[in-house]
Amino acid sequence: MYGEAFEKKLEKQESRYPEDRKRANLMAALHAVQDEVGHVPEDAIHWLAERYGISSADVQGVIRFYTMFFEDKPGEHVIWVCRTFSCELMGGAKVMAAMEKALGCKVGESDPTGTFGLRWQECLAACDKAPCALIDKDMYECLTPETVELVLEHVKNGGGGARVEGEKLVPLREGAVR
Amino acid sequence: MSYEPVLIAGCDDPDNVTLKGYEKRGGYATAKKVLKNMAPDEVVTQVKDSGLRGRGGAGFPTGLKWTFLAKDTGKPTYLAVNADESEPGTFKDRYLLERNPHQLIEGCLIAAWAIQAHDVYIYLRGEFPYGRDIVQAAIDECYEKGYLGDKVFGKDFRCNITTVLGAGAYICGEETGMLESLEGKRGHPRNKPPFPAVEGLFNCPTIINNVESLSVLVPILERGNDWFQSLGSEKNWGPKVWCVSGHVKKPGIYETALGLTINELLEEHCGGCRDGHSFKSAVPGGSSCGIVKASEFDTALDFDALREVGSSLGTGGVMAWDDTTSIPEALANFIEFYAEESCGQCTPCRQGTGWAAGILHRLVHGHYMDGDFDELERIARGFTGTTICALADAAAIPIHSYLAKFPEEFKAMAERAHALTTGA
Ligand SMILES: Cc1cc2nc3c(=O)[nH]c(=O)nc-3n(C[C@H](O)[C@H](O)[C@H](O)COP(=O)(O)O)c2cc1C
Ligand code: SF4
Ligand code: FES
Repeated sequence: MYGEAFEKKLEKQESRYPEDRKRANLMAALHAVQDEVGHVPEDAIHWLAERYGISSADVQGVIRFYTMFFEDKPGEHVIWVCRTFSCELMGGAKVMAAMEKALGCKVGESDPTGTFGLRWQECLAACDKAPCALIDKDMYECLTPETVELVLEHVKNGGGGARVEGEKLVPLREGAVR
Repeated sequence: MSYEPVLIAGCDDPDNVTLKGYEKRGGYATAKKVLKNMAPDEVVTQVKDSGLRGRGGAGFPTGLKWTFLAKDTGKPTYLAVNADESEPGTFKDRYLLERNPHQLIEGCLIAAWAIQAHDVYIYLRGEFPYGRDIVQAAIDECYEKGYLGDKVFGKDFRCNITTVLGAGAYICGEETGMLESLEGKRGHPRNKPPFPAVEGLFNCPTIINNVESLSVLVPILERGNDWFQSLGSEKNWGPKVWCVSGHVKKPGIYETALGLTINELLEEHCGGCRDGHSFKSAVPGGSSCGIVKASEFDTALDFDALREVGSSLGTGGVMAWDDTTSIPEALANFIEFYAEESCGQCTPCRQGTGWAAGILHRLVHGHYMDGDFDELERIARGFTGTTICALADAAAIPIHSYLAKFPEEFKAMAERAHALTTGA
């Protein structure tokens, strides 16, 4: 559906499951589609249903169960701000408010240019670096309302995960596998 | 006594995520030795005798769980690794996944050999794409080196490890919810029995273990049970990774033997409370545990001692709160979490967590109605023991515990709310 490399990737993943259990690969397949186009469009839903011998409603049911699968484009980059208590204690709500202001949209929406989608997420397992956010595949830690614009700019320029230190962004774990 | 870390050792070295870096500090020597010299049953027996209790939250004895596997079924046996780490306040598995992936793989090999599983699935929460890349890169190296695949260490033993990424659902950390997700379905927990050890993944016998439980197998098999039982106390043995957040000077990851006191962890390791304040309370193992008052901080952090003060060890995700923290606000935040993450299969859980969250939300926003607290406890009793999985039971724990330990805070909040509404 999305070219040869995509097909190869799926086949390799599917080879890890028993012959009559190929739908087990649905989670990975949905991620693969999203990696290509940013969401799971309707034609992909039908295509996956056919591939795994299940109904389109079944595929859609799976998509809607998981907060990180999207039927509609959520924005080019998706920002997940942690809502849970260790982050709330350290000012998570203020960070979200600053994000909303900087982006000109409310949580649950995307900004007017469609560049960023803004969401709450539950505990991101980085509570010692509260408040934090996951943006696309990278963590942003120890966030402050003052540095939100800096973070957004950094993401737009393709920067990876980072921690706020004072007024600066410091990259996470340089040297680790990327 | 000085303690030598065996789980987070090497985690500060960026090379540790590579096979070379891990082998430099003796990595894979233990798995090689085990596969060469020990029969699978011997490994099961040693782990059982070690007294290791699962580090995923429930503290169930790992070796004992392995003995529950259905035998001679003619079906394959699977190992599923719980790397879904979503319990609020918990971040130890992320640390191990991102910084010590080979020790997890080595632990998986030991467990897979013990239960004779040829397929291992590591289920990581969707918020861990970075950790998944690290673990996958480590797995790829192992295939190249012949540590995974058709002939592990050149032996006639096939073992494949597959990583699977979730997509944002706490309930997929519940073991049967995870199995459903691994089968490509919604993460709806299953009714038990049958337990996964009898009918798990693809209806085959399956063992589910936490990342830390599997990683600790390596030092257990390397150093033996005497070493393991030299740490901690009776039935609460071994090393433990703590993840501390909240109002401590040095939040982060710590590893000690089980059984140090909350005070020791917070004061000696984490630098104590932030300046100008003092601790009010702590939750020792993620949001599904009872709350501990500062006056009880001399309690040992282990499975049994914490029960005596109405709490539990849970995941070892310690959240420490100072005198500025509002206990009703903490409760409101956590119950909102459970309401958000309920999978919706069981009416008492789906409705009850929502009602409880609604009452608490109202309360912290200045609206109190007579009988609210009784109603909260009534709702919590209503979803205890009446549902498919333990998410609902877990939600009831903080409700009862916070109300019982800090009644004055709830009362004060009610009075403030009352004054607000009546203008009195
Ligand atoms: C709602 C719920 C969420 C859970 N989340 C996790 C989790 O994120 N990680 C985990 O290891 N165990 C989690 N558990 C516990 C698992 O069901 C299971 O007991 C555990 O993975 C077994 O591993 P262990 O014996 O090695 O501890 C959860 C349980 C419940 C009821
Ligand atoms: S108790 Fe809640 S989370 Fe668990 S199966 Fe029932 S509805 Fe789902
Ligand atoms: S509470 Fe925000 S990362 Fe855990």
